[in-house]
Amino acid sequence: MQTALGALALAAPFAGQPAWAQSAEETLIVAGPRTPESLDQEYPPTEAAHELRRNVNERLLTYEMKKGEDGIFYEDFSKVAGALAESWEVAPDFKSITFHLRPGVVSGTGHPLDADDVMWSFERGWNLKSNFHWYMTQILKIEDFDAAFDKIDDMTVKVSIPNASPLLEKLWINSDLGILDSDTMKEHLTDADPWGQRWLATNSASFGPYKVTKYAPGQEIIYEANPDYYRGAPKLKKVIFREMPTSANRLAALQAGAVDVAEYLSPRELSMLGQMPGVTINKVFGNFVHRVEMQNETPPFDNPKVRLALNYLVPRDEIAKAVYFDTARPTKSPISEIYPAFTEEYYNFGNDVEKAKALLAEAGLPDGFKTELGYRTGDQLEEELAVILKTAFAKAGVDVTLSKLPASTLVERYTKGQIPMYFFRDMAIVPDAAYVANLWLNSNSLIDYSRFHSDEVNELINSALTSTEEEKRLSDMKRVQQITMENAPWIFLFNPGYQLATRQNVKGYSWYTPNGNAWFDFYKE
Amino acid sequence: MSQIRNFITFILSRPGAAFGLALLLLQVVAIVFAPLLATHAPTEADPLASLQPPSGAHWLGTDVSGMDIYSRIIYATRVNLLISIVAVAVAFVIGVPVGLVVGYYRGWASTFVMRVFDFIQSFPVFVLGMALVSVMGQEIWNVAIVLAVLFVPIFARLIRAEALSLRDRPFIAAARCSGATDGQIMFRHILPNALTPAIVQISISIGMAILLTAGLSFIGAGVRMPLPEWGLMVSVGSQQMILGVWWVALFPGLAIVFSVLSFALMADALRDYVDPRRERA
Amino acid sequence: MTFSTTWRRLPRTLRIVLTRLPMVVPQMLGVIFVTFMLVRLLPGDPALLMLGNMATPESIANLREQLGLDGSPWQQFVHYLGGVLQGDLGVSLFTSNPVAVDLMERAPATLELIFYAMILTILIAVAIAVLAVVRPGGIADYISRFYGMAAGAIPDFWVGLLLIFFLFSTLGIAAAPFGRIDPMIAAPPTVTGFYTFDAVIAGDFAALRSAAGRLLLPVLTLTIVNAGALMKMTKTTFAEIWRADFIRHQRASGLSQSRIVRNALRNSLPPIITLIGFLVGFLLGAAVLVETIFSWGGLGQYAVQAVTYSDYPALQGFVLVAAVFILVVYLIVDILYELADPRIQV
Repeated sequence: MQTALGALALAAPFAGQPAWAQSAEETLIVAGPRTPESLDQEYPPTEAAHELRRNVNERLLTYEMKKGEDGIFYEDFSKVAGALAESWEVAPDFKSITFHLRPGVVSGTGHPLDADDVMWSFERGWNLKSNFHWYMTQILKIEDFDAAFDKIDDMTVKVSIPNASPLLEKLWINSDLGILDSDTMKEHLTDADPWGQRWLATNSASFGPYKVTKYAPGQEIIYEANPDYYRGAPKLKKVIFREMPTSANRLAALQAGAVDVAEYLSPRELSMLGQMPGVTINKVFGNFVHRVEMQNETPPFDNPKVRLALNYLVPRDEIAKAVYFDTARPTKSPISEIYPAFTEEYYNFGNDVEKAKALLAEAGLPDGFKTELGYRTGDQLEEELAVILKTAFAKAGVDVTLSKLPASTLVERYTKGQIPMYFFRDMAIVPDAAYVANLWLNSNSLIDYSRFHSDEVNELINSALTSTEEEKRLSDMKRVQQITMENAPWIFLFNPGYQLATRQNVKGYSWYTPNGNAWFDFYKE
Repeated sequence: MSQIRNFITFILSRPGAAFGLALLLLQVVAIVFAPLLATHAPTEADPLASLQPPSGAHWLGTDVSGMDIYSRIIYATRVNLLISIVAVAVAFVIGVPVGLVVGYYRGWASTFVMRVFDFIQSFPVFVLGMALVSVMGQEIWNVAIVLAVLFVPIFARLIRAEALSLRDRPFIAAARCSGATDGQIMFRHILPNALTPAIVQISISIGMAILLTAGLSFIGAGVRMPLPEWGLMVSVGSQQMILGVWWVALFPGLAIVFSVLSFALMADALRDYVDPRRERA
Repeated sequence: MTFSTTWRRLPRTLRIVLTRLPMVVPQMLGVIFVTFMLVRLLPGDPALLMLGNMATPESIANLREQLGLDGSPWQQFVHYLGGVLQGDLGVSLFTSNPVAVDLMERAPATLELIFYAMILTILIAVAIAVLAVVRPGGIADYISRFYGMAAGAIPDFWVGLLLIFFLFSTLGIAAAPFGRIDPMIAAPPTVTGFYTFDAVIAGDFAALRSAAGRLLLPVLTLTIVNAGALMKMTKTTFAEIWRADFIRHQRASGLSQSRIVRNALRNSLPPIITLIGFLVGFLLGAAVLVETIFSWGGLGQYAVQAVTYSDYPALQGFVLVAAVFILVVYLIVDILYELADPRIQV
């Protein structure tokens, strides 16, 4: 009797083992600026949403990863690999692609992957007229759902497009095009909500490495590992992401050891951390292009000389040192420098006040002019830059009024062309120069907020989007960059890079084009 | 004239009030002689000089854009006081007549106006302020107007209370008997007797307006960068506080404290001066 | 039996409540209407903001319809009003949650903060005021003079920052200034929503310690600034009563000092109650700034975010709830005032 009790007493702590399985080594606490606004992948993509989708949704294809010299894992843009698709074929005419799904893939709720999941996800995306629909109609030029999407058998799906597209393969790597677990989704459909939008806004159902177990928007989101994930169970079983809008707070939390990872710290804060023991700072060049866009149709910005003049007034060296602490690189092209076809040969700007004044005089504005620059509420960095630019532009007589605007107001005003200058920091997640140029430089694009218009550029972009000859595409894109730099629709600033500060025992950092962290790659020593 | 001399003598005899007057004068000096007192241009950014602690070159240090804090504090006196004084003046000019009318005439119109004031005052002040400035734009005149809207009910209520208690007094009845019209009764008989608390309130309200302006700018719904304004300066410094950079937020905050204090002290002095129970020499 | 005799037979409390009620409903309607119109005036199109790169005329129209932003303002208002009457305050554009749910999740954070701030404020203000009057020339009197003067001049956001700087960054004795509880510690299961109460109920002392520690700085911030005003008013009122004849009579009759103080306090209650009610309303507004500094996750932060992102339903919901809250507080204050002062006829 007594030995039995004794054995029980010994066994008791071990019987409690499963509750302790999520120990500190398997839990990651992250402090970030914002929780995702919705868990639905049809919600407009934001930085927080990109990170969510990277961890929860799985897509058909992916890039192979390669390790850089800095020990960080990067996507290898030259090598496409299969994710949910074990293999795939691209037709020689680039007008169709056939996916063979990987057998044995199981979702976070235990349902296996099959072609029905893929077709249902396509149908949903097509009908909701949001992200999926945008990609299909704007990039692949699909017009008819039934003609384009075809279920061949239980594990095979074919997508056919009307015109050849060089992006036919690479597009499916975007995590906005994740495949949903239709079996789970179907349990939550109603007549009023036939695509489960209400449910998917606050729940997750896909084949990715994590599922969302707690979602308190504006406060925190908790991811738990999918033990049946096809690449193996994640090493970090639980990731707690807490929203802390102020970067200084995220820094303090990291210093105090309250969190393991602090996202989006300012360059000043990172330089402070650099001297602290116990903290690692991962830095990559990333793909952000930060610039001040000008309203090219509003005088005096309709004159390229004025736009060029402003580019010569920017004190880039001082900004690089004082604002970015030498972590940023000047932007020398509208295409990010790590994407193929990037070239910096057409970048000639330096800080030359005399040259700027001469250009302004040629444009008929020898005494300068008055204008307005908009930036977002809550963006400390942009405010610092705005104040510096105001002083710098004043040297040539350009008197700038600074307008700190709530995000939605700023977006509305630049969409309607009502604000002459505004900051814009963006990145394109498809590593293709034509895709990037099409977003921002094609005058038919709704996102060409600066209303830059060059017929030659439009032609070159359109041909690059439909041609599959790599040589020609490359030279076309170089020409696009040349025209752009000579016309300066923007004031080119910096690529701030992407930095992630973590405690020293957090390893495995990797970088993906949407800049969201993939917790699957991380582990704690 | 002699009233003013009496008042000054009164103030000088009490240390608290004298201190307040001194602070007030200091602010007037800062407003008038700003270009002479400042060491740097208040909105000139110098990125390489960012976040320097107080030193010989920058007496109170620099902020994140490299702007000199001391010079900005001096120039900010103009901005903060201008907004507050304008706001309170407008609120006074509107609130007093409204209060008179509402206190003199009873009836559903008066009740309705009072309900409107209730409504304005029951709104969470900051959210109302933020929303209004968002709608109207971040110009200093708009901030002043928003503040005026918030202060009108205060003056109106004050005058209304006085009017209510005065309207039934014998001397008003006498005036009515001698044929005075309602307007004359309100403005020539009631108003002079009701003004005193309102005048004291002016000083208090200016102090409150300074705090509110600073608060609005702190959240980002006040004046725009890089205008020198005390609350905005504290906001810029708040980011770095937790990192150990104390001078950017400390000094403008002190400026706010001393400025508001000066108006509060003057209000107290005024109140004591007109208090009928005070022994007059 | 006439109306007036029936009326006089009702208990006094009930009479007070009934006279005030008829005003409440029209006031509420007024609040909803004006808020709605004001919020619609806010610049910024949330649909455009949300769509960003994916904007096409089709998707914009689609999203607008989804968010309920199509139709004339009048139509939208009627639709909104109908919802409110059923308890549906719309869905937040940026959290995708029903606004009512968002508000209920965040309300306890703000209420807990205001609750402790009020307690501390009342304790400090009344204690100093009473002591200052009862012992003139003593330390309390001295402190009260300076404090009364200075407190009204100090911006609360500045005090919060200084407290963070001195007690956290420099001395390291205060808890980190972000959030209501340490991220490593799970919040106690919700019973009241107050972390402190819930932690006690659940017997979770680690959570209690952490929550109390985090409450310290924001509560101190709110108290330091507001206790001054309450203290000045209490001192004035209490001083008048203290010098009144009936108190002198009690002293002459040999009642103990503490008894006399208590009686004097009771008589000073009416204006103090009014000011406390006013303070509660004021604190709700002050909470906006303090919550932002301390990342508190309460209603104040929610409101600031709503204005920043033109999140119409959230902003309307917040203003509605705040206005209701304040109206209720004023109602209670008026009732307590009339209860405490038997001279008032109802």
